[in-house]
Amino acid sequence: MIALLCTLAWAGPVADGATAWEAGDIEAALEAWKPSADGGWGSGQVKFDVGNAYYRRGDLPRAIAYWRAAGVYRPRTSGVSHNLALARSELTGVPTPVGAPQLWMRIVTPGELGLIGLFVAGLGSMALVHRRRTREGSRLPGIGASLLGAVLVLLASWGWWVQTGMPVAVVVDAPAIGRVTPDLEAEPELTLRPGAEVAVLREMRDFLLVETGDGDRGWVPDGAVLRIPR
Amino acid sequence: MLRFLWLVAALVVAVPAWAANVSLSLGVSTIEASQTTRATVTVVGEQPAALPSFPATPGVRIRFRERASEFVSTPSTGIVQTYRYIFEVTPEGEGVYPIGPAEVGFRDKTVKKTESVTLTVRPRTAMGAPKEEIVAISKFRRESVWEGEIVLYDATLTARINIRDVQWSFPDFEGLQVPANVSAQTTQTRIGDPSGDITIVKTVIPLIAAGTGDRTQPPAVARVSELSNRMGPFGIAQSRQRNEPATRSPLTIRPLPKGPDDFSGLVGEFSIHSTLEKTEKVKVGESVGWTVTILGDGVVDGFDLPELKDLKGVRVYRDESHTAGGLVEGEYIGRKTFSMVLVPTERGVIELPDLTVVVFSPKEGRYVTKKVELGKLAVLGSGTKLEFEDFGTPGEVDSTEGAEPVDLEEVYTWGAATTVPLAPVLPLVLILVLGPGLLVLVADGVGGVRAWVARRRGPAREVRGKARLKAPPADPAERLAVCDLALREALADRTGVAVGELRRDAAMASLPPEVAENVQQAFFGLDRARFAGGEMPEDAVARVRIAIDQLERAA
Repeated sequence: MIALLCTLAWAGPVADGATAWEAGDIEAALEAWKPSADGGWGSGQVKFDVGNAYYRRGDLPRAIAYWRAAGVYRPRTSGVSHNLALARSELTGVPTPVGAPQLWMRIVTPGELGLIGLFVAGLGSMALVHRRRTREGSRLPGIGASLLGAVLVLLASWGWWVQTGMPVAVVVDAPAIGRVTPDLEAEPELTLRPGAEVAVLREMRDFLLVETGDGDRGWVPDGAVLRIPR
Repeated sequence: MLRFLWLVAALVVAVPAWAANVSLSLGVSTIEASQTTRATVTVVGEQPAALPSFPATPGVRIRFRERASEFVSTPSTGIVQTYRYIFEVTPEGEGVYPIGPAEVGFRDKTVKKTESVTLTVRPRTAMGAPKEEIVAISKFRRESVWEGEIVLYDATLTARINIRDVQWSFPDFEGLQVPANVSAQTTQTRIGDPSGDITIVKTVIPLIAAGTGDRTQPPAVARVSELSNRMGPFGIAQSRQRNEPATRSPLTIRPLPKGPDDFSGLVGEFSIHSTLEKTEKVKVGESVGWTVTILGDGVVDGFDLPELKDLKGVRVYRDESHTAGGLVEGEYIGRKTFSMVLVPTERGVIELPDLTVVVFSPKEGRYVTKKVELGKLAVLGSGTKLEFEDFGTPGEVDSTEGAEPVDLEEVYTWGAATTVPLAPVLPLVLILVLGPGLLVLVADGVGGVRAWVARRRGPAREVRGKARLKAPPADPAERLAVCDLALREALADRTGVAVGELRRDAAMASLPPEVAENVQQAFFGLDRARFAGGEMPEDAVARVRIAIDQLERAA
């Protein structure tokens, strides 16, 4: 199994794209990485690499979108924040980027938190079984660990649900007009320049209700933004 | 003032959840002779081991009254528990008395001291003498302010009677604006007075002076629920509503004088603080976190840092900024923090230029330049300059002349391209993981319940002897067997042997004659029915009962 994983890691799309990248062929690298990055189960590494490729191509909004996606999977990776800071510093007139839905998601992903919770809950469960066999000691440590683990797992599940329910989107290609209602004839309320990182609050027909990091809201056409690929 | 602001900000920002902070405050700092006020010792983050203690102050009596605790949550500290210890402070006469510092002891034997506060006791005059039951006062804290300045509006209700609550109807505040995301602050204080306790309810509203000229506001009206001594249904005290108008609140807003081109738009007393994450042994290309905080008694919402020019050998990348504003202890505090990253592009000692911000100081009535020194960066590196590739930068690019661009963090050259999302299946896996433990708990619980029920019922009583005849079976054969068994059990009990070891003749011989005769007749009737094929006599059951009764009595 380990050998198989190593083979996949060394010879998969990440490595294929990296070879093209090192040869200076950004398009070929993007071609190798993008199907995995957009495929639904794309890893943090491949999304990060796609972000770099877009940056090199000069498409800062898409680069930001993919780095934000990579940050969801790898919140502690300094490269993500470095590259995001680099791209953001080259944009002007964009609102404050929206942050992670929860503060703890800047440190740990819901999946990682869930694994920790499962481990703690497993320890608690084992402690209860052990106590039943030996009839020695108190049940409290086992019950406490089980409860703590369950709470962590539920927190992780809730965090994942929040993360999925309120995705981040980035305005791409052209400025997006935020309107009062989901209607192209409605009164414009705000203008978002390419690279603006917004939270998607609701979806109605072909419109998305988005909120900037400064708290401004407006309905923008779905095609004007790129939701961070998950 | 600024020192106070920094102290409050430092307390709010720097208190980690595990560290205990102690502070002391007075309900009111000025009272009149014969009155009593309260002192509160607030402990944040850790429970004290004992009551806080005060040093003896001649002429002042301090008595503990009550304590309370609550959970307080702030973005910077998370959830911390706060303990409040309330003391009654009774001065003996006029004068100025230092109260505290209070000492708070903790379980790890450490002792922390609060700051001391001053209580001023004035001669007994209007406030102490019996006067109106309720007095409402509303006014601006300063009657002349500058455009853009924060002005505090105080609405104070002083009551000598029992009141339930106070609701204010405020004027429209024409020419004034409420700062975004800021709400009014209301505090209630009680002063003990010989002629009846005085309740003071004070509401503070921060407002931005937006218009200019005379902005005198109409009076606010306090709607007071006055508690009566009569009790209503269900023992609830009755109350009646009273409207108490305050007076008009004069205010003049002066327009700002023509300012310099680089005026930041800030109006108030501000200070700037800069923190560099690292100043020595920095490598070329390394990211160094840089935080600039501006803090003061004005609104900072729209403020942005001036563009940094002449930064040779270093590039600046803007990250996030956080704005906060609100009332703290009755004073408005605005704070904005800018997070940035400095990336040196050359080795050597880089002199960072001072950061300057032009603000309007209402206290001085003129524009002042606030300056903060950024210091130096000692940069190490193998080369003299950071090598970089030229890359496309579309859109509007903030190009800094002479500075070298920083490159991207490199791509991953290996790793998994796909990853299985674990979060959706977490609850299911949790059930599997918790399953064994839960089963054990359920099994233990069921066992425990059974044992409890068994204990509640007590030991099972054996049905034997006469008890078997309480409801004899209808079937003759079964009835015969039950009667025979009941009689033999009674005889065995009388003799003191087990039923299986009973020797009927020997047992009968040991009985008194009249009992033996009855028992013998009972056995006879049963034996005849069993062995002679006859029917069981109708009175056989009654006979057996009588025999058993006699056996029990004889025993």
